[in-house]
Amino acid sequence: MIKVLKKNLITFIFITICLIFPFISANQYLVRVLMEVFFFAAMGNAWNIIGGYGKQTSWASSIFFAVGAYTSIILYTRHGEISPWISSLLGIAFAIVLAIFIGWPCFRLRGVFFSIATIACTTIFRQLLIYFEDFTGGSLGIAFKIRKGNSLWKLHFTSEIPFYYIALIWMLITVVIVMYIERNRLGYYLRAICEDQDAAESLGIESSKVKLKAFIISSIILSFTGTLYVFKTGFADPNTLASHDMAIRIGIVAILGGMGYVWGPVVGALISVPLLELSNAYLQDFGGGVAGWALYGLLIVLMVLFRPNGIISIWNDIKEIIWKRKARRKEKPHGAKA
Amino acid sequence: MVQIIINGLLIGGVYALIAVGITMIHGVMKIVNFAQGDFLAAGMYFTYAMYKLLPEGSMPYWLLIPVGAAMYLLGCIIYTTTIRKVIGKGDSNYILLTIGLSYLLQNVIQLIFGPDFKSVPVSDGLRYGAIIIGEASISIPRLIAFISAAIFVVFVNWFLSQTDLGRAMRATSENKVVAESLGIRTQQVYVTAFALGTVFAGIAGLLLTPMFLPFPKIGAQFSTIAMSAMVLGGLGNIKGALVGGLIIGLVESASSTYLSVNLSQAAINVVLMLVLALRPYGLFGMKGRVA
Repeated sequence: MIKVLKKNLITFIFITICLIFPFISANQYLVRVLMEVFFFAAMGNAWNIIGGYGKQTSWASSIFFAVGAYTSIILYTRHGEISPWISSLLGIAFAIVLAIFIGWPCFRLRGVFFSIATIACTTIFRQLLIYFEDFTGGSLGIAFKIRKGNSLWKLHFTSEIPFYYIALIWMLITVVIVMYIERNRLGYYLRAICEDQDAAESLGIESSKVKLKAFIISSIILSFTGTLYVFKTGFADPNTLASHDMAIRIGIVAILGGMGYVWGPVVGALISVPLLELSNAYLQDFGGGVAGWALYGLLIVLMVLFRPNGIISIWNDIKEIIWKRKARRKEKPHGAKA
Repeated sequence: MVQIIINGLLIGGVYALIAVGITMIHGVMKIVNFAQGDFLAAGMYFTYAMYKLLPEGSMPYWLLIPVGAAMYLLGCIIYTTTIRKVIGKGDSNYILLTIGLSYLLQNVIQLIFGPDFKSVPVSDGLRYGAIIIGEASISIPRLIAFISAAIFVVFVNWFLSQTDLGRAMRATSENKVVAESLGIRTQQVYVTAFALGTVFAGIAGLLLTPMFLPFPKIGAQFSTIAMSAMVLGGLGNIKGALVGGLIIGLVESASSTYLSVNLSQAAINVVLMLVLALRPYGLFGMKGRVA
């Protein structure tokens, strides 16, 4: 037990801090920001499965996010307040169907053509959302009517703290899912495909099937996050939820933190979400409040140029230096004797 | 019906110019520039900024050379600072980089010019002018845009097949190592190709200013249009890109008439998906390429 604790010390410290944070911080705003971090970390994890391990740069994540969000909010507001826990299952089912529908043509394409196709899918999806106004509320979207009282079943709380814990738990679940995938056959297959698809196929890996599987898992996570997110924010509209910007934000979380690392998206979300909040708070009067978004773009560019493996790779480098130094220290007395 | 075809072909000419830019970059460097639409937006904003220096009511087309020069400079700067480092390093690197660039460019534009629609105050005679033949009317700014785009496309074709630099470009695109061993400075070729690609996007932006009001995120729709036309025409194929652009123009004008203006973007993307699914090597491409 102690050995496990020692090995994952930072993880445990991080989780403990997150668990007690609402009690030690009187600042409601910080709690809210951290909750946003959890949501984006969960979505980054979903992106990481397909974009990080599989190196299939997908910009379709906002589709599945929006599917979960819209399914739940429509069922709640128009069909007798159906609990999000039930409607999320339907949202997941829709997301799976869509993932197959999108993935089947897309995964026969390679590299950049896959990315182009996912962007095309996102645009089509958003335009359809806006077009079918009667059903989705058009470009204005749908908002909840005023809700009262606390109910876990209906996911409504007067305080932010229960939501904070739900988001935290969900993020940790997604981390466990990614960990499980990484250590199982699917993870190995994905990495093999991203190293060399032809070689992997010649060894009998059906690459499009493997990618589709990963894509479906990713879409399930995104859809459920969408349900939770929309019940937290209280409204759904196509130009935020299903936008290209949202897809990019989700991708950035994983890219910034480190693609193909279990904790990468969590680190990425811990940096990117507060960064945006900070710049929104302090640079608001500067150029209509988009300085933060410009910073986002700059961050991706710098990341790709100087740290293509993400921020988490800095930590790995430090670890390596420490190891080397330790090894050298062990060698030294040996050398002195000789 | 005739009107739809005319509108489609006229706007398609400009799309062809955008597609030629992106195809040129892809053909030589083997990277797809996801920021192409935002270069177009930059061209629109350069036009908007420089137009204020001209006497009132003059044609924006006088700005062709200054906007082109500004875009060339922008292309050179972006290439040397960023793109240069990701060439030949795998797909996901340049995808992420150019998406980041697109995002950066959009928001820098918004920082400078603000989020609202801007209007280049061209004279009404130019903005609404039209030639009427029978039942069909040909809008003058569209006609000018079409003709100028066509001239540029012809020019590119001549440039690639007749000049030394153009030949060097084609050689580099065929085989970089052999081209280098023959004494072609490939880095120089890359800079020129990338900068020319941005110039074409910028000039397309200039040609579109009498018809579209620029706003910071206008680039996104043109990015997909450019990519659709490029994929449609078969990659690295200038003539294909020309035809692709015209087809996309027709699809857009037909879908916004028969379906809904709001669905025209979706229709273009559906065409793109169909092409990718059924003929990933483009309508005229060779079958050899793996997509």
